[in-house]
Amino acid sequence: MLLTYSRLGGLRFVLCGIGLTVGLFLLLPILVLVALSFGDSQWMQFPPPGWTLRWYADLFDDPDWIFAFLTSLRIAAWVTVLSVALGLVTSFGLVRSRFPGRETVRALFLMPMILPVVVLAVALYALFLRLQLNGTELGFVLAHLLLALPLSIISISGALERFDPSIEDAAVLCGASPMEAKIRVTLPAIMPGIATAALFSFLASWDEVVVAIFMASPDIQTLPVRIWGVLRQDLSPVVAAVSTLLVALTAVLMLLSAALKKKDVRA
Amino acid sequence: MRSPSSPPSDHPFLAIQGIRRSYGSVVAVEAVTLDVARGEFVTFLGPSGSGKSTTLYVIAGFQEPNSGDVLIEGRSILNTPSNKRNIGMVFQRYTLFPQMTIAENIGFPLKVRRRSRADIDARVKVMLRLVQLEAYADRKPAQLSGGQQQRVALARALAYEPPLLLMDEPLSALDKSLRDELQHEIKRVHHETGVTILYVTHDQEEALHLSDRIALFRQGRIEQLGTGRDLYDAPASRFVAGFIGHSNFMPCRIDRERGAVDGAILLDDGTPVSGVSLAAMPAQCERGVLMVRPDAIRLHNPDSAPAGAILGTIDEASFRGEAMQYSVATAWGESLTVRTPCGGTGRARVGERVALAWQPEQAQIFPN
Repeated sequence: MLLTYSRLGGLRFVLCGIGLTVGLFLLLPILVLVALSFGDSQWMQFPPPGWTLRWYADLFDDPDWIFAFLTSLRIAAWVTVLSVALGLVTSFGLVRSRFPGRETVRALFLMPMILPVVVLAVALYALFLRLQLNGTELGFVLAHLLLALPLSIISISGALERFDPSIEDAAVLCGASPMEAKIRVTLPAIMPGIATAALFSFLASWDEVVVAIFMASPDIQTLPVRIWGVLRQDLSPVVAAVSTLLVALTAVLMLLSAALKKKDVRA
Repeated sequence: MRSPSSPPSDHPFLAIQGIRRSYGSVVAVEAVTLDVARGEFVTFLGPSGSGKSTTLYVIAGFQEPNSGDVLIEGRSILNTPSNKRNIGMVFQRYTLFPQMTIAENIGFPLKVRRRSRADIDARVKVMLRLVQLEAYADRKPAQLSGGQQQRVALARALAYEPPLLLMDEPLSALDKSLRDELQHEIKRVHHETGVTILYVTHDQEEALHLSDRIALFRQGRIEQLGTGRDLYDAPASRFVAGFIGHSNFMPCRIDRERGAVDGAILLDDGTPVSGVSLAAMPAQCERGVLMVRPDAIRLHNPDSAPAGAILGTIDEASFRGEAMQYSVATAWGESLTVRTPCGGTGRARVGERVALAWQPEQAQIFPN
């Protein structure tokens, strides 16, 4: 190959340099944030003059933060469950059946991904105002479900398309009812796709802020909404601590999914 | 011994009656009728799109026929869902359940039939031994070769002792040597289990090697049904003659005024051909093709040729192991293929003038 790494000579070092720079560029903001969350400067001086765990202690002492955290978690959990369930039935419909306008329907399902989020947020706000869903947990769940569903459909229908329906036919001829064949054979086989759908659905809700700001009320706030609010009112290193925890949680989820994928490849 | 409720024995084990299946304006199966005896190995042979797979899928219950019926022991199975038909099937593609081990795959049909753990284990062992894969019980399908996967699929399809096994081109994804090995294996399993097998293939050698009877499909119909020998020795049409084995086709003219048998057929260069029966030819048909198998033709020295021999020049000679194959250019421009067993008479050389002759009963004439 023309661009074999070992044949690049001096260019190799340039290439490594560029890679390293891009990596740093991507990671640096997060590293600064993590450092700030452990720094003892009230005004988020960088580099931090000293180190402390005070902001984390403040965070866990503040019931509002805990409440926002639990709210976010609850909403994200509901969104995950609903998005996977709906994504699953929708994918079976889109992949396995042949009906006129199938491609149009598929495009419609993916629409929320293409629309600017803020447009969606305004539209939902106007609609939910009439339905009196603004400021309710149900409103949050429905709004986030709209954002999560396309991701879920893409990932599950992708897995389903790669799964040969003859395998399901084989299970049926073996004596399994069509439903039993789907549950015992097809579902386990497309599990990596379902896991990815769950992960992305969770994250779509967990770190979503635009729609959430429209949905939120003083009584009910998700974590990103509260971070946004606190940032605007009083800049406190507690925000850095919260953000660090969010980054940590997301990283753990990503690592988990990577591990699952690896296991799937080996199986 | 028969129980009082068994159907009378004059029912064939499997009866396919006038199956027709179309997709919109495309007719996949025009009219297929066929009786299969218990324990028989019947192959559906034909080019792709001839309706053989569709017929199999109708029997499996994945396709509904527009009309016609399928009966097992005298009872229609068309209203029984696929999973209740108790039919085994091996597919063209690899259809093992990817997340289950080999043993779990074979045990799956028994598990859905709610058999006991001990029953399943015992039966899985028997099946693994049948396909000689005992050592692979705990592997996953992805760790097996294609040939091994199809053997597992065979074991899984037979685990619940179905009376009927359908095989849809199970070897077409494998390479030649593996195909031969698995054909042997399938034959042995058929012999050991006595299961009735319907086997779809487009490979005539596979069909000839495996089957008790072959149903040769063409455009949604069975063109001819019979043993491999029947189809080879007495093809019912030009299509059958061309599909099974190699054939030489010579365009010819029929002159009925010259007699019913002798001299009625004239090759395009004017050579009269005698002794070939015109029974298969419609009365008004004046043009036809004369078919002779390459191994029915004998090469002669032009000087000592029998009467009615055709003259030609050898333009290609190739060694085929047990036989020599010659291509002989004829006076009317077409080449004929001739196969002669090696040894015995001496070999002809390229460029040599030869005379070709055959026994009249080994030639057949078909409408053009």
